[in-house]
Amino acid sequence: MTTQGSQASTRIALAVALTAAAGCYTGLSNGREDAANASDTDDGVGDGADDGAGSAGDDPQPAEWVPRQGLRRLSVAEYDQTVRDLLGIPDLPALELLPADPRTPFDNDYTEQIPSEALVNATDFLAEQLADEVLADPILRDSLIGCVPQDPSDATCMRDFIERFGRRALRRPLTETEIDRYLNGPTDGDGALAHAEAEGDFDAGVEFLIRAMLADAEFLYRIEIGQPVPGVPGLVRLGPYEVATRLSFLLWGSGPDDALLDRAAAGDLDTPDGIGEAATDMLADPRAIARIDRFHAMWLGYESMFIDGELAAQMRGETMALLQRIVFEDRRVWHDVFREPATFINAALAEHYGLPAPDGEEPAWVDYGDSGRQGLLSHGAFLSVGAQGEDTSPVQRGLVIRRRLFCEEIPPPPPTVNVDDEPPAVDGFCKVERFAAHREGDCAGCHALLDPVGFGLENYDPLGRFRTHEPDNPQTPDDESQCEIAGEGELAGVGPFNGPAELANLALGSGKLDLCVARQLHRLTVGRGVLGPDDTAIVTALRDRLGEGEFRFDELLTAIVTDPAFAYRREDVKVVPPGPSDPHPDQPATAEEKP
Amino acid sequence: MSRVSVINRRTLLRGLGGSVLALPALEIMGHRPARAGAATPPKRFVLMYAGMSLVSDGYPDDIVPNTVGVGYDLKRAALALGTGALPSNPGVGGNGFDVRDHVSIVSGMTIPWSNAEGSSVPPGGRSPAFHFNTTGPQTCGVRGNPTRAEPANGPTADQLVHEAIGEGTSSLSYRVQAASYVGANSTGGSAMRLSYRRSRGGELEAIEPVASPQLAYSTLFGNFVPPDPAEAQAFARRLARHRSVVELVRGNAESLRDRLGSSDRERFDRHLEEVRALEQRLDSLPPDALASCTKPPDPGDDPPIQGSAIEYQGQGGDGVGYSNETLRGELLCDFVRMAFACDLSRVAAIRLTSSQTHMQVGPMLGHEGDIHSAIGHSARPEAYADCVGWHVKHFARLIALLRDTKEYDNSSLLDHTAVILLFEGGSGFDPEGGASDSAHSSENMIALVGGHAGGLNTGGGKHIVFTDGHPANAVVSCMAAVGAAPDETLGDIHGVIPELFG
Repeated sequence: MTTQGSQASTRIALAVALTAAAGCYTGLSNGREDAANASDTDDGVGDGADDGAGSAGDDPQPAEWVPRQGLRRLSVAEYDQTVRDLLGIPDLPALELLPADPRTPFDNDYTEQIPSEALVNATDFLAEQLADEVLADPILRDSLIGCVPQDPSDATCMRDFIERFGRRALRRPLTETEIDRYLNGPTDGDGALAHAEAEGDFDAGVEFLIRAMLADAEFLYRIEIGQPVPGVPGLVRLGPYEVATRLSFLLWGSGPDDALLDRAAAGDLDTPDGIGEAATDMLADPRAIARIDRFHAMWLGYESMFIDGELAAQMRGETMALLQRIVFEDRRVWHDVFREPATFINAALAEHYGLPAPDGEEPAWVDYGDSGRQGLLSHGAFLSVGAQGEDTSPVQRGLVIRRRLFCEEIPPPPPTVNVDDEPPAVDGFCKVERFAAHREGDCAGCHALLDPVGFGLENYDPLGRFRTHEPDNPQTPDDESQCEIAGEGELAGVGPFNGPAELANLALGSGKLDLCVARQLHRLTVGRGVLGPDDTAIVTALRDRLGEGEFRFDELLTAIVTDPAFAYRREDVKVVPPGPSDPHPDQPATAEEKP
Repeated sequence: MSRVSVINRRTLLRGLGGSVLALPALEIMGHRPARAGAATPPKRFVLMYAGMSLVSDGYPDDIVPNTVGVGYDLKRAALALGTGALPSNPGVGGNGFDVRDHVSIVSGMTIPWSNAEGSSVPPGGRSPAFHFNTTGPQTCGVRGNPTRAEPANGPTADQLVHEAIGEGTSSLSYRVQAASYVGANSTGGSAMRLSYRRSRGGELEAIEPVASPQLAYSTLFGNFVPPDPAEAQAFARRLARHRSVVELVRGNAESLRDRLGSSDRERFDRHLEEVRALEQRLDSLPPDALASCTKPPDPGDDPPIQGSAIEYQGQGGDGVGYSNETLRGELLCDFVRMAFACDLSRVAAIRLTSSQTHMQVGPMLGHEGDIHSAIGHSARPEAYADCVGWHVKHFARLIALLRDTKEYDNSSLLDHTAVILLFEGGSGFDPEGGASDSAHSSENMIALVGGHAGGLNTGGGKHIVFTDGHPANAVVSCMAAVGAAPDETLGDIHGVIPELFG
């Protein structure tokens, strides 16, 4: 189905929904019922929890087509990008001051965010440092202030700055009352003008303003209030600036710029078509490339690689180049990310992989030939994910494919399994023999899904290099330390494979990737790792509208933002406490996703 | 709490605008910290935690003394408890100062478990799964959570002590390990947390620890007035501006709160609470010029965080993954000491390493690799003992710092403080894997208990074998020593270790 067609369909659906909300609902007939009743097997990162969301059952409530969302704080990465865009500072102070964001697998999960003393103190401290830094640079300062103060307490210039900077920082125009509060203080006498006057320096007032706005809750959080939809508790229609903010954080990982705020002001974001036009323009921005690259990196687990330095940078650059080529330059279907027959590497990385070197010093596209590699699953960045200790872990690699790439739920190991240790050597010292223990007893059910996937990638070491033998095991006798690797794997229920190219082809043929990528992008969009049946219905409908295997990634993004539901918010009424609440915790253990 | 009248900051600001303002004006803007004028120095409490066991699989520990009682022998991991000056701190300890005189080692303790299929974790016990599940039983006395979602299932000792003796001061929650490890959990997540408290609504709240020495310094000592009059004036104006900023931020947040939906409001309330706390902190006065209370030197920028990477087959560069945790630990302990001396705080929780720590130790210990995998589970017992010893050294250094810091009555801070160091595991049977001599055991747990609050270690530090006791008994002892455990209970665990007193 075309995007336009899907828009029409969803528009009708939401119109029906909102009509129903007003009291005359007679049922949905847009084909979403099947999706609503689809089983949900994946709840995020494998914690086995049920979020308790209501089932979209026989009489689905219209509001369920709007994803549940809660108050969301900017992630550290979003804070970073937003501040860079806002202030123009190239080198930010250490953002490690901010509490780190848990990954579920994305870094913006509001159910995991803890408002803390550490957070408030850090954002307050950073605001001061950022203000100092921008005001110490005459070019940045002049550009930011945007007017020339005639004296230290030039109210006109100060007011002008408040209006312009405030609109960008708080992502909406300020009211006259708010402008006055910043200018003169909450009860007169300790606002920007007073501080400028006290110091005899206009910049003291500007510093006050920058600090106040960067520490403001409306800067640190994505506030969505909207207008209530009559008759549907918890459902609101977002205002145009709130839509702009949603759009910019999804596509750029940053706050809206002036152009996008202007679109909001002009009413251009009031319709799905208008949002779509804005999204098309925004996807041409380099921040969109970085955002999509990071989405894949968080999803597939290579955002934080276990090596650092030049080699890691080259590998990350290789993967970003692939996404840029497929998504932005060639505008090809997203599946090509997994079947691209060439890769973007320099001579050093080519030597590392054992591939032909490109001409010259700069990276260039090099054909994989018959190396057994193709697409992203062949990249060192991806192959580094399943490392454990000094070697690969077939189990961890299998988990990455099953959980991350296919969005399947794999139960965690029972609590009586020591996941730090590999199976003991019983019948032999080579890895296949050692892991034979996983094929027996209670272990077999899950490990049959995992280990064969990992063994199919065993010819590739944790740095993505091709190898024919396992590394020496110092605990084994010399004559058994060189174990040849067959590299034979199997995707249970799909077929056998050997190496990343064959795995990619099987994965593409399995039909699992389309729904999973939509599901993962839905997680990023709503900022919630644990999904319920209501989310599954939304995601399934989205995938169905796009057509299996035929969509481009930008089409997927556009489909999300042009869905009428994008401009609505359904409050997530379930409060997920950040801490444990069950003092009798005898539920099953959660598997650790670790190298 | 001693309070003086508060001047309106707008009045101050107007004064600052036109003329030089006398320094004492600062002193009527807020309230003083709690202690001023108290007859006896207050009690303090430090909870330290090491996210590692005592042994490398299959090897004996290298810390539990062979001898029992005072003058216990020091093994490789415990050498910092001896008489030598602590290596990286030439000004601390030394002159024959024997840390052992102030520190007891309690050994032989056990965190119980249940192996029976479907049966409950016993009170104060761990689930068979090891990592992340032995922390809570020790720090809050409540049984562990096999979901591994959070390390504690109840309010932790530091927060309970803070409630009991904090008297308006701040509780400090720090972590030293700056980065975690690779993979999905590379931020560390809950494995980096140590402190939990009950919210006003009764829910258990995690407290995000501060990992940045720079931030810790700024938060604690940011309102100390510079001695130079000109600098003091500039400082006063900047402080006034800061207060105005936070007042405005707080006011905006309060207005915003009323417009949020009920669920968002619930999430937002804690943020607002913390903004109010920041405002109160700015309104409080610098502390009195007590005997040892001085502003520590500015630590400057934090040591760079080297990320979660590791050295791998020559890839990754020098010192990769190491974020100078030695310096970070020393700075944070320095701040705890001075926060105590200035009575800015009476309670600190310091997580030295995350549970299942993968901290890279090469640059500081000369042993390649990370603690958990490359050393702990790789048959390198001496290297592992040095990793245990790294934690002990920070503990010993804090003991020395507190001993060397005078109270206003000329006693030492250590006389009024209880410091406890706990470990994630002990040595022995592992119910998770069924192995003996395992690092994943909660048998033969130890605790290091230092200080003299409430009569702790008054006869000198000892090695106490507390067979079948629970590590939380050592925690309860420290809580009781500072007057924060009237019923000698922490969660499911009851009772003190009598030998620690006297």
